[in-house]
Amino acid sequence: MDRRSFLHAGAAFGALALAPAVRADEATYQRFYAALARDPSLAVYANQANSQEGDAAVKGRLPRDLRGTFYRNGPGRFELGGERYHHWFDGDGFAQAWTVADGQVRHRGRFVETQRYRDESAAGQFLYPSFGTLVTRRGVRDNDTMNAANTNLLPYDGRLYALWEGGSATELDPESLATRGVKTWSIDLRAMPFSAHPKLDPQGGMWNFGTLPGANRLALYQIGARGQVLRTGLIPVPQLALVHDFVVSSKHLIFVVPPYDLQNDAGLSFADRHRWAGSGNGARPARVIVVAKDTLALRQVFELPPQMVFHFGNAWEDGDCTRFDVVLHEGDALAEVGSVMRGEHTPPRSRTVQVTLDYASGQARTDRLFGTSEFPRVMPQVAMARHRRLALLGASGASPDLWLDSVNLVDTDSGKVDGYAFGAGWQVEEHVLVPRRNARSETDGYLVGVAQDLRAGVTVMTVFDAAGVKDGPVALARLPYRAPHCFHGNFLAA
Amino acid sequence: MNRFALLLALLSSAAASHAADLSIQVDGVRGDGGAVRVALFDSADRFLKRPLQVASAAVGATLEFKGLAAGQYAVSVYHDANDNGKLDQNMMGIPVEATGFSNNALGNMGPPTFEAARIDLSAEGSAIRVTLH
Repeated sequence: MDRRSFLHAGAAFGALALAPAVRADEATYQRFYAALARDPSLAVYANQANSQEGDAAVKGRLPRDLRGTFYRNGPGRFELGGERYHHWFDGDGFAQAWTVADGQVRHRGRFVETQRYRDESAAGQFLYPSFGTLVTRRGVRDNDTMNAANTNLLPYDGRLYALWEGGSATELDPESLATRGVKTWSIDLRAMPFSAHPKLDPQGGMWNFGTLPGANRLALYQIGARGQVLRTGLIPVPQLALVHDFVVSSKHLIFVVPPYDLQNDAGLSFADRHRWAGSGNGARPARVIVVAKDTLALRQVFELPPQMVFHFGNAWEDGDCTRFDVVLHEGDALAEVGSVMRGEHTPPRSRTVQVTLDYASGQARTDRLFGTSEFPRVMPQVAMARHRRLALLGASGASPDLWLDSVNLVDTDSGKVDGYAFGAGWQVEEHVLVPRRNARSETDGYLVGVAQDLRAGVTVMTVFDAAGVKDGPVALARLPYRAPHCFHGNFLAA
Repeated sequence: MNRFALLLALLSSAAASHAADLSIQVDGVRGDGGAVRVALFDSADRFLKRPLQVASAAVGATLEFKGLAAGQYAVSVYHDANDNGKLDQNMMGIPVEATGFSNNALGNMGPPTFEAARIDLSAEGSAIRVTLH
């Protein structure tokens, strides 16, 4: 492009433009508060206004060799100016750090001060579009104008990144959680979508991907151990809708594209533009997109029955096949998880399976690992290689609405489950596997997470011995307050 | 546009015979390398396609278009940080060099409309500021 026509190319991404409209509404606000009055446990989805800092009361015994910081992130601010977001994924990122040392646990929570957070705080109202709520009070330069930095918190190379799905990482101070600014891995990657689910290679470095609404392309990134960009790629994928996570083996990057049609309706939010295309006439399958790591080229596409996917466990090569764990959701789960913003909980219809991709036959086979579940994680040292244990949250059924209330370590070979149910009155959040130093197995370590005590209205950090989850938590660290529900996090050993 | 505003617009275009100068001060540039490049447009049809004039200057200098007819214009600006004569983009087509428009107008995931960036240049000329993002 010569300088005479500069910015003409903007028309290309102007195709993603939104029409002037404001749809964040007071109705969602009123419906939520009416529901909260009936059911105080919905406070888990209440608005967070300020920073938090406090000591947790430890019950049980914190293992001496569990030292470090458990970094987590999730949406905290859902309301501004009397309006409330429509979707759970919309809120501004509230970064949290649980510091574990010498038998004590300290908690700190602080908003990621994105441009959006600063501008909207100053204006006293929502200004920009978010994932599930269309607000167009102010224009946006690019996707980073809308960056909520609310999905994951990743310690990497001595730095700390708050991750979103459709834009840049945001760097935070690892101690204070103060915002340092937007992370640009290299100048030509400014404003590129950098997903909230990078995969750390135990040999060093990480892989990640990104996509934008309507782009029909997956951007691929290989980042070195010192944060340097090693390789990038771009894979065209027709009819690409939301892709939240991916999974990586020693040889492949694997994506599952759920069957959604993306409506080209400028009057709808990005979430509302997703029309489920997995049922009825013309139902489409989910597609498994396999990319070769060595060439960053598409290797093969497989089909699975129409299902929605958010999260993966791990992938490994097994002869001429690749195997990976994934949580499959029946139907339009994307809209259903958003409904908690109006105080409505839709019981999840999910199960975790191991998928086997057979390149010779072109067939993808699924084997059931677990029923209603979410938030799969594996031990970091087995990532991209053969693994035998998968951590999962489950729904014990103690609550009729199938809130996630159990913590499980599943043997992916035998299907045996080592699990503990907190039961009614609890809502469990993601648990991560933390290996002991020089761990000799996938159960040689801890399962660390957070649970919401709904009756007391407080938040608790949990520690299980990975070799005996069914024995219950070895320690619970109870805050004197409720901390916002997080999506994802990572434990950084001291 | 109401009828009174339309009348004013007609009057101002009728008076477009005097030569006017437009000066542009550019803010928000990071670093002092490269050049700041401006394109001037005089209609929605030509906006971001066929500039009336273009100008470049070192970072910090004020850019000027001289001897313009009074009337309606819009300008687009970018910081050509690596001085390669073009607005660099990332893999998804989003500009990676800082951009800005008259009125500091913003689009929605793209450039603003001519209308949003439109400035009315009188015969006396005008000095505007554009902040790059």
